[in-house]
Amino acid sequence: MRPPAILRGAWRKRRYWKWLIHDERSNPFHPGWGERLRAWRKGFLSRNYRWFGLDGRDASDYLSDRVRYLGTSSINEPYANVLDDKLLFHEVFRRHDGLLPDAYALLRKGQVIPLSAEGVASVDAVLDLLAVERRLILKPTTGGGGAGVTVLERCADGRFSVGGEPRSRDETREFLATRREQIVEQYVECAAYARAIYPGASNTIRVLTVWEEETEQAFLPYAIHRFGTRRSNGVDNFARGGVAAWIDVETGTMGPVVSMGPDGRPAYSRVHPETGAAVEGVIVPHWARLAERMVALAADYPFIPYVGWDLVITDAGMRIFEGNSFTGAEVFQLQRPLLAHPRLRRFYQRRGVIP
Amino acid sequence: MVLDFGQPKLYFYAMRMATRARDLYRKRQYVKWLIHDERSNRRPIPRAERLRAWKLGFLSQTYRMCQIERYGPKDYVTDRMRYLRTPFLNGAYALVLDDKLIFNEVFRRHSALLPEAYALLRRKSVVPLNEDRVGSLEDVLGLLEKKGRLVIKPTTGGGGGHIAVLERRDGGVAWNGEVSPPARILERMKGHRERLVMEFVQQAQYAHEINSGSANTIRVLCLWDDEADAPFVARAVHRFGSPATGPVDNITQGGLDALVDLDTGRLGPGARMTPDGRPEFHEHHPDSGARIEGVVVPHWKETLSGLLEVAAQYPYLPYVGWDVLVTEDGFRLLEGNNMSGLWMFQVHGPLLADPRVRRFFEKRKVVR
Repeated sequence: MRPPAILRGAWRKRRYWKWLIHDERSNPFHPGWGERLRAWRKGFLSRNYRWFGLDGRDASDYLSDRVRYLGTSSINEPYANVLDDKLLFHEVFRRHDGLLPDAYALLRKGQVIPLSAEGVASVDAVLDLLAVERRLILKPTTGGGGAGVTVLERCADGRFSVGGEPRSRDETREFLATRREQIVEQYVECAAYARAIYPGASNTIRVLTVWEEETEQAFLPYAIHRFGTRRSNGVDNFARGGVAAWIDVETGTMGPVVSMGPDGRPAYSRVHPETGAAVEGVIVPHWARLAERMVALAADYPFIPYVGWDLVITDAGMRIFEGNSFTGAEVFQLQRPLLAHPRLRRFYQRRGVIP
Repeated sequence: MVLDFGQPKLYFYAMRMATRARDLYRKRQYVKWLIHDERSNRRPIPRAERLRAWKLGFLSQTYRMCQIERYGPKDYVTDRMRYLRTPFLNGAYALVLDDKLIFNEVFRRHSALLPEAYALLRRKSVVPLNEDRVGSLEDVLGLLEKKGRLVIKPTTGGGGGHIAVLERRDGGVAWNGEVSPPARILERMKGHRERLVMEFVQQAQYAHEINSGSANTIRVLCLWDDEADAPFVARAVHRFGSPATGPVDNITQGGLDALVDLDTGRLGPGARMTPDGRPEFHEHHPDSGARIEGVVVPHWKETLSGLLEVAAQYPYLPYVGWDVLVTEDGFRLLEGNNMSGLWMFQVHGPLLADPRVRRFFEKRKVVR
C-alpha cells in the first residue's frame, strides 16, 4: 500500500484508533510494560491479553483487538449508521410488529418530538406517560456500552427516580429538558427465568449474526447471556460490572457465569455471584424459535452482514433493544475463540479483515 | 501583527471568525455545489446580471427563471439560503432522505407505497433485498425477463442523474431506450456507485399521455407546522419530461413544470426553460401537444391526505420534497429530498408569500 492510501485509511479510521488507545489506557489492572508490549505485538489490548490468558500461548484462533477495531468496524459500511444511530435503527426495524420496544419520543435539548401514536410532544407528556407506564428507558441515539442509558421510574409515593436517584417532579422535568438527543422507550421486563437469576436489570442476550454472501445465507455463530450485578447498576454491560454466561447456540443451554476477577483474569462460577441462582445448565426458553427468528432477520438485511444484537426474552416473546455494528468480541472469545469457527473465519477472510 | 487577546473586542472578533470558519467547513460540500451549479450555467449571461443575481443571493439560473429582475427578490427563498441553510433542517436524519436504500428501509413499513427494491448493486457483489433473492447480475436479467421493466437508481445523489430504465425487448435489453445485447447490459450494470434495482412503476394514463417517455412525478414540498404540530404542503408542482430528458422529468434538461392547485388538483400552465434560461409557459406540452393546463390530477385529495398521513409520522424530518407518482389506482412515493430544488416551485411565485411557510423558515433561521 502506498503512503497516501495508508494515511487516508488511518484518517478514515481515526475514531476507532481513538477508541483503541482509550481502551488501552483505561485498563484498570496496570500490567507491567513487558506484558503490555507482548500484548501489543500480538495485536491485543493488554486487558484482553490477560483476560484470554494469551501469555505464552498461541493466539492465532483469536480475533485480535487490532483487527476488531480497525477491520471489523468497516464491515457494515456504508450502512453501519442504521445500527449506530438508535433512532434510525428503530425506524428501519419498526416494520416488524412486536420486535422492538415501543419508542415514544425523541428528546432534543428541550424539544420533544413524538415518535408514536401516543403523541408525546412535551416534557409534561413524558411525565404523564411515566405515570401510566411506571418505568421508561432514556437512551442516547448514539454511543454504546450502555453509556448514558437511564431508567426513569415513578415510585408508589408519586415521587420520581432517575437512574436510581430520587428526584422531585421539577427536577425530573429539568433533567428531561436538558438531554441532548435521547429516545424515550418502553421499559421491557425480562422473563421469569432471568428475573430469578438477577431481578434488578434487563439481563439481555447478545447474539452475533453473520450474512454469508457466497451461500446467501445467514448464520448465528455465538450468543451470550448477560446479567446485571449491584455494581452494574440497572444495566448488564460487562464493561460496567455485569457478568455473562455462554449459550450453546444449538441447544440454548447456558454455560458457567464468567466475571472479571480481581487480577483481571476471568472467574468462573456455576451460579450468579450475588444472588446464588443457578445459571449453568439453565436452558433459555424458546431458544430454537429465537435463533431461527434472528437468522431470518439477518437474512432480511444482507446490507448489514455483521450484527451483534441485544435482545431480551420476555414472558410473551422477545424484544430487540439494539443492533451493534462494532460488536464486542471479548465475552464470545472466552467461550471459544472467534476464528475457531470455520465459517466465521471464512467470512472474515472474504471480507478482507484477516489474511 | 501580534493579536492582543487581552482586548475584549479583538478576542470577540477572533472568536467570531473562528466560528465562521468552522461553519463554512461544515458546509463545504454545499458551497462546492453552489459554485458548481453557478459554473455549470453556460448560457451567455452578462457579467453584470450575474453580479446582480449573486448580490441578492441567487444563482444566475434562478435569477432568470424566477424573473427576479422583473418581480424583485421579496418573498423568494434565495439560493444562498437553499444551499447553506436548508440542508441542515432535518439534522442528522437527512441521511434517511439522502440515501435511497435507507429511505426504502425506513418507509417500506407503509405497505404498497414504495416501489419494490429488489437488489443492491455494489462494486463486487449484488445484495438481494427482498423475497425474489436477486443475488447476481444474471439474476437481475432473469428478473427483467419476468417483470418487463426495471429501474436502476444510484443510492446517493439527486437531480435524476444516472437513473436508468431497463426494458425487455425483442433482440436484447433496452437501457434507457437503447437496445444492447445482454452481455453489454451486464457490463453497464457493473460500476463504482452503489445502485438499487427497483420496480418500474406505471404512471396513470393522464401523465402518460402528456409525456410517455418519462416518469412524470409531482414534487410536493412538505413542511412542519409547529403550531398545529402537523405537516402541511407548502406547494406542489407536476413535472413532465420531454424527449430530451429521457426517462426522468428534469426541467433543466428540457422538461416542464406545472403548478398543482392544492385544493382541486388542477394543473396550471407548464413552465419550460428557454435556451436563454427564461421561463416560457405552455398550455400544451410542446412536444406531445397534449394539454397540461386545466388537467385535473386523478384522486388528488386522497394522494395529498395519504402523503400528509405519512409525513405526520416523521416529525424529525420537518422539511421534505417528496417525489410522488400518481398511478391508476393511487400513488407511490419514489423518494424524499432533503435539499429540494426550490426554483421549480418559485417559478410560479415566491414561497415566502405564504405566512405559514415564512414562519417555518423564520423559526429555523433560514430566513432572518
